[in-house]
Amino acid sequence: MTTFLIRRAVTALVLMLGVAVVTFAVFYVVPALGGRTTDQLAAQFAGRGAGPDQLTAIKHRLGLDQSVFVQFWDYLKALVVGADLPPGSGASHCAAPCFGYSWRLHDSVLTLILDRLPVTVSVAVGAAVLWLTLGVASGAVAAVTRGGLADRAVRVAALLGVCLPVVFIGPLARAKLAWLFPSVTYSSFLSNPLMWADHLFLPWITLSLGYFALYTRLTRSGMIDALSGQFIRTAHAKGLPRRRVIWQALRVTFPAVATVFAMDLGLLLGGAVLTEKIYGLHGIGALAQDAVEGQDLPVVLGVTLFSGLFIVVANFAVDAAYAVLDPRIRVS
Amino acid sequence: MRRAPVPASKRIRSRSTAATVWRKLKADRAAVFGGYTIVLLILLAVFAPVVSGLFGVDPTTLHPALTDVTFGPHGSFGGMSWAHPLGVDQRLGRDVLARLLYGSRVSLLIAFGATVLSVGLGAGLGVLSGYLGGRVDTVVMRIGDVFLAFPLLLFALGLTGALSDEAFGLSGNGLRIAIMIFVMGFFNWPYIARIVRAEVLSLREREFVDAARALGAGTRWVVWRELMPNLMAPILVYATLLIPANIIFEAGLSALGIGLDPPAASWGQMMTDAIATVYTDPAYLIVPGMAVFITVLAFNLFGDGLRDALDPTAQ
Repeated sequence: MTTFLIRRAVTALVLMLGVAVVTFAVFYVVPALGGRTTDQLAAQFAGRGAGPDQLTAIKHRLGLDQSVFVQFWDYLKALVVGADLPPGSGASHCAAPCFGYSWRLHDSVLTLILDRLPVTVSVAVGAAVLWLTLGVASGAVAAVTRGGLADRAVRVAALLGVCLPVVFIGPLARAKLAWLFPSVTYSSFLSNPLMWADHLFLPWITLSLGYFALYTRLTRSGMIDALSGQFIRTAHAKGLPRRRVIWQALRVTFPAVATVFAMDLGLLLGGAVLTEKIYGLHGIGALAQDAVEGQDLPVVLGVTLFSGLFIVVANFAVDAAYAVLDPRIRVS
Repeated sequence: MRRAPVPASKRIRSRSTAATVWRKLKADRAAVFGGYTIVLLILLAVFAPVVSGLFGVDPTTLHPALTDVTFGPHGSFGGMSWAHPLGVDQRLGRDVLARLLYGSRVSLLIAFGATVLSVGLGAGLGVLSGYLGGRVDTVVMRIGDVFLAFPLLLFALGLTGALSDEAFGLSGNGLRIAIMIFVMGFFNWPYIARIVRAEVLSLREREFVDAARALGAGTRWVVWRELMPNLMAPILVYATLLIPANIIFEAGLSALGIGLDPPAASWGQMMTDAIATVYTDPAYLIVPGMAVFITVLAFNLFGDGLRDALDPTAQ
């Protein structure tokens, strides 16, 4: 298993480099191709109301007057070893990993992100737990009662779930279910877990609806395949209780579910950002949106880069957890 | 002794694949419903000016007399009346039916454009990756993994922030639509590439490909004449199911503030505008919401039916 984990870790590192390259390309190279001048870029770093000499200073300081490759090297270096900040920034050094420094908010982007991260992660984790458990459970029920009433009900629910966008169902649920969940706010999980769950329940439901449908389908088809397998017939013939036979069939579907889940992490984070926006929660999404409106480029870039790296790490964690759980991966 | 010729009516005729698929699809009531709905929606979008003209409404005229800024449109259900069948919007009193019709053009344009882009890219790279294998395969698939690592919604938001108001010779709503199509299309290709690659991996070992190669066929011939016909089914199904996903995604982008400037509106933009007034005027949210719901449902029903019809093992 150690070899497996090391190989996975190397892949993750390569992916992180890739994420850094793509982010750099999108924020520095693509706009330049689109006709943006370095003055405009410097203005985005400075925030609103910066004078021309300030812009020149920023341009020089950030190396915007240098070649693209030098800029890219500086940008990578900041990530790995940190960077020194120009005088008058409010801080002298941006510690590694440096995702940038907001001259508007006078804070390092990483601090800003870590401040908001618990909100986004709370929305994402709650929704993921909800859709994984409910999706797999109802998919299993549908497969076992194939063609029956429960199967039809689950399939209709899954189809409807995938057709209701968060933007539609979120505000509607908030308005119509206000009597049931009067308050949708973020409170720390550590201080009061029950309040945390109660106040985030609506966002969880909203976000998990669409994914619930996908995972139900996935589990249902996987289990129908598994239930017709030889080992299930053997298990029946040996006289294993029905519950244990079903569990054996369900276990076979887990690799597929885990693979799809690892691929969906990016969508999950994006979905969480959208959901928190709809419910007015102040997470990563609100940070990014404020930064876009305030033309605070370091924050916009930092959030994008951070979320990309975050997903690579999360993906690695899913893989590693799965390697621990699945004996087949552990052996090979 | 000669056998009597079999009468024409009793002869077993072979059916082409297309005919079999068509027959199966026609027998699937849900798919037929989905198909008709899609055709109707596309016609409504194309002829939006004509249809709204028939109802005597237009998307830009303001009717401030019909609405109250605080309490919403006069009358029930968002001010629905004979003159304005789906009501008027909260603040300016613009006709909702006309906005919905014109909005469908934007929503469908973005969804179709992004689908064409990502399916084209994904299928191309998937074939390349699967057929050539080796290093090309590794590189393409790893790049795909990088693209999958980006949360698209955040990325689109960032790109809007990074670009100035004018870029690539586009500005305003044209630029916004281009960004939406680019982000949704350009970052979704790894999914279809994986599917196509897996298909190609199994197809390229088959006898008919060997036969073609033995007869001296080049790569181009094998890809276009031997592989492509067999890849059309999964690509078509995936595209049909990607369009509704993109419609929903467009709504998400609008909610995050990448929407269009008024008076132009997409369905996502209409829903986003309605969020602020959902307590006083829920109809303005429900109308575009139901439009999205019906459209997405239709594409999903049709796509599911198409998949079943194209699957030779399904009954």
